[in-house]
Amino acid sequence: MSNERVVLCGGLPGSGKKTLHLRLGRNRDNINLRITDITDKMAANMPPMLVDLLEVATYVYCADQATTRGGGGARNYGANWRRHFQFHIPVREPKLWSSKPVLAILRDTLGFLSDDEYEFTFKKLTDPPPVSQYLEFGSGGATGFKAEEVILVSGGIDSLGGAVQEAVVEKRKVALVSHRSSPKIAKRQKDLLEDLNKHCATQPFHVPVWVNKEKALGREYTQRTRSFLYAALATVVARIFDLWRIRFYENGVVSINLPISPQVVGSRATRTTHPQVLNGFAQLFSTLFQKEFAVENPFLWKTKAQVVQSIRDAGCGELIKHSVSCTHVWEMTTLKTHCGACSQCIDRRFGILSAGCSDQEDPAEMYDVDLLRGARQPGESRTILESYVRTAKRVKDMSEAAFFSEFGEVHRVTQHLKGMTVDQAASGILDMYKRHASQVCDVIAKGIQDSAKDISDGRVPASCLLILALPEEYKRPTTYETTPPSPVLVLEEIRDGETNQNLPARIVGSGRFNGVNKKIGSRQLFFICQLFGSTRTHYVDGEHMTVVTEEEAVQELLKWSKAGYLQFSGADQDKPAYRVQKMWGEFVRQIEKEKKLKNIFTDDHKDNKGNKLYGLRLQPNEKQILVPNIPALFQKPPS
Amino acid sequence: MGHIRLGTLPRTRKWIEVLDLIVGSAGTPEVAAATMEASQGGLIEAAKDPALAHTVWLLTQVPLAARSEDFVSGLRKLGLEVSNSPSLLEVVGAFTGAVDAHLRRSGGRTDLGEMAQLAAAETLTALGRLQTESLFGTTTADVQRAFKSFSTTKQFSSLAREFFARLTKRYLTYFLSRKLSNYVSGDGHFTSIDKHAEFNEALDLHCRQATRIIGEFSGGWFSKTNFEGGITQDKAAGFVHIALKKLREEFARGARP
Repeated sequence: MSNERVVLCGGLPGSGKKTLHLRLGRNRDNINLRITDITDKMAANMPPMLVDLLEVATYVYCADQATTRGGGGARNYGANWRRHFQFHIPVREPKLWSSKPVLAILRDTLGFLSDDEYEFTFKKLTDPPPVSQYLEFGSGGATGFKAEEVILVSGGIDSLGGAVQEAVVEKRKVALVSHRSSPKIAKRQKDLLEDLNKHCATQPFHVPVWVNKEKALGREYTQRTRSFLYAALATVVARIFDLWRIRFYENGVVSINLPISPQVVGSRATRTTHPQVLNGFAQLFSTLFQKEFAVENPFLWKTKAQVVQSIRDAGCGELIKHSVSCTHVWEMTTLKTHCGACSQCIDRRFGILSAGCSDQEDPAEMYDVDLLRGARQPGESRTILESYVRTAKRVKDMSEAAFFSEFGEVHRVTQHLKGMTVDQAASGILDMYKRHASQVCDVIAKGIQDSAKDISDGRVPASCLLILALPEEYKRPTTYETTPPSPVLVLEEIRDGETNQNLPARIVGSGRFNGVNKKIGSRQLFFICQLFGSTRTHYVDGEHMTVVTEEEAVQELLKWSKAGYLQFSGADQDKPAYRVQKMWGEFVRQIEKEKKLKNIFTDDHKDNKGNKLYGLRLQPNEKQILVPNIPALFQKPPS
Repeated sequence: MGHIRLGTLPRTRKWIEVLDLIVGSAGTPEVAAATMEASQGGLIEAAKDPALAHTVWLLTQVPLAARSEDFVSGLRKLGLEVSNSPSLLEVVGAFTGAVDAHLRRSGGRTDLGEMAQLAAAETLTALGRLQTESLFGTTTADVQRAFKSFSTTKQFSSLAREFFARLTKRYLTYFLSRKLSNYVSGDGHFTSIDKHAEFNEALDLHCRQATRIIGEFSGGWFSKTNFEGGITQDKAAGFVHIALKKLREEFARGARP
């Protein structure tokens, strides 16, 4: 592995090109950890192992950010994406940390979480600093507060939903642990939680945590290990309150995070709260404590829209606009708090619109790019949105077999859901993804409905989602001046073997095709579908044609074969092009029996790349014979 | 939370040619062949990938385990952590877990290895589902019967072909998906999201056609190698090497007008 790093922590000596020195302290060291509002008294009995956990997690998080993953290239199949870390960390309890189970769980859980390889060597920490060096008593320190639950709050919608559920709906005493990664985020979190307090019978106890590091240590922004730091921080707080459980709140689609594009391999789709990761954290903490410790995600079976709806149902809809989901923090302004382009913004806005939030609850003007009507420039913005929606459209109509045989990542989840069989877990995941896909598609459908006039007038950008999502059928120009007749002959009515039954149909294209009665079978239907449905044109020596290439015909033939409309015989399956050529000859012989259709079909041409073309000759006033949908070509004559 | 990292394509002459072909409405075979050529010698280096070789080896062993009377023990010997009565989906999940566990021990995970692992899980699900006629609630006997059927020469051919078709599709779209969305626009090359999806379907069909060659030799290799001392990881790696070489040639051939 080329991307190796030796991480020497806590002042351990050593040097080398691949060596990274990390030292955690208050002022003179390169990492600074501050836990606010936990008093010396509250932390008085904190076991040394907990302080070790805090330090180990901080070192892992900082090494992750200090080591680049080599950009977004595809060189050597992502060799630079995956790194190999050798950590050397002095701890208070080296025997415990060096035990085989702890080492194995650390390696496996972090390895899955961040897609890196880990080795740990723990040494005895001499002269350990007191835990108080990390504590900072702030203005809100709640002496005597007894938390019933500890939850992680990032300031996004899902964690807000969790805080609302616990503190407002269930009226529980909760400790909210948040990581303050930047001053901008810190202010937003503070304001959000102050507003939340107004809805709570008992004010939550807020524990903000700061991790600052030298600028030189910020080389990689992906931060795949941050949930380990969050979990460690929350666990320390939980133990201070003598609790044996912490809770992340994240909607299930993001938690499982199936890839929306084939380029998204491994942890390029974050596994921050993946069930396998949360189980790994629970296992690690349980092993360290020698007592069962739980790490849960109560929103695992909810979509974002359902989370948003639960906030509204609790009467806290007004808080939504103060939550921040966007990862492009550096682009955030007072007015535009969301870029509207990153995956989190897209997911958020779909959830918001699906839940029917008003503009007061989540103002559209907060987003730099509007989800439905905003122009999407080529690049990440368009790729994420297009991939997200294409996946949702596909999942919506997928069979269960297709879902589990196209999303291989799902098999990394099904075995890690406690209290369920694998089949029950799989069924639940499928249901949730289908629900999410329908919610996404419904938002788009409503957007098209609401913007119908602007679309009709051409007043929305060609690259906006409303235009991208319009089915292809409606983008083809048509020679119809009026609404085409209702389809009365559908593909299912013709199957291979029925070729000689000669189902009567009427080709109702336009002009000279209008009213052509023709008895057709599957082979004629195949070429009529191909040619009348094509958008490809060919113009040579004064002849204008609508054409398909032989390759396109072959691809279509394979689809028809798969669907059972046409069956291959003998060696044709291996030579589908030859089958197309044979069928074309028969098609022309049959179709030209109809007087009006004589000499208008041709296979005499090739395109400029040498591809053989099958074509339909057009008259000078006909640019292209195109219809909005294939079944509309056919109409049975009245009996 | 929920971040997705996207990638880019190298700005080399070969990749620019691939993009030109797409914009120029070239056929799927041409685009596929050019992609294969532009991508690090088109799978040749891939044959050395340890995760890919291990995945293929495990794919050969699961049908053989299904031949034994104690199917569950056979699976566990291969590293699949299953319950006493695993369903189809449980076995597929355990297969994925076994590859993960192997790579945690040995290291060497790559994107290609990930693609192979996913393609294998998807293949077992798709073909297993066809045999069991159901996805949920399958019994262990159903699963054993299904996987045992893959241990014949003919059925292993189908298994291998399905796997390599899925792997090849994943491989090509791993690169192409970095750019294709950029061409989706009301006035772009793909005028809609559906059009992009159609392109992917055509690519899928092309991969299935191109992997016919795998079906032709893999069944014979499986039976012969198993008979002659068993299929080792090294022999599986050799099979992968030949399969990928043939595939590359097939893609180049398929692109010719």
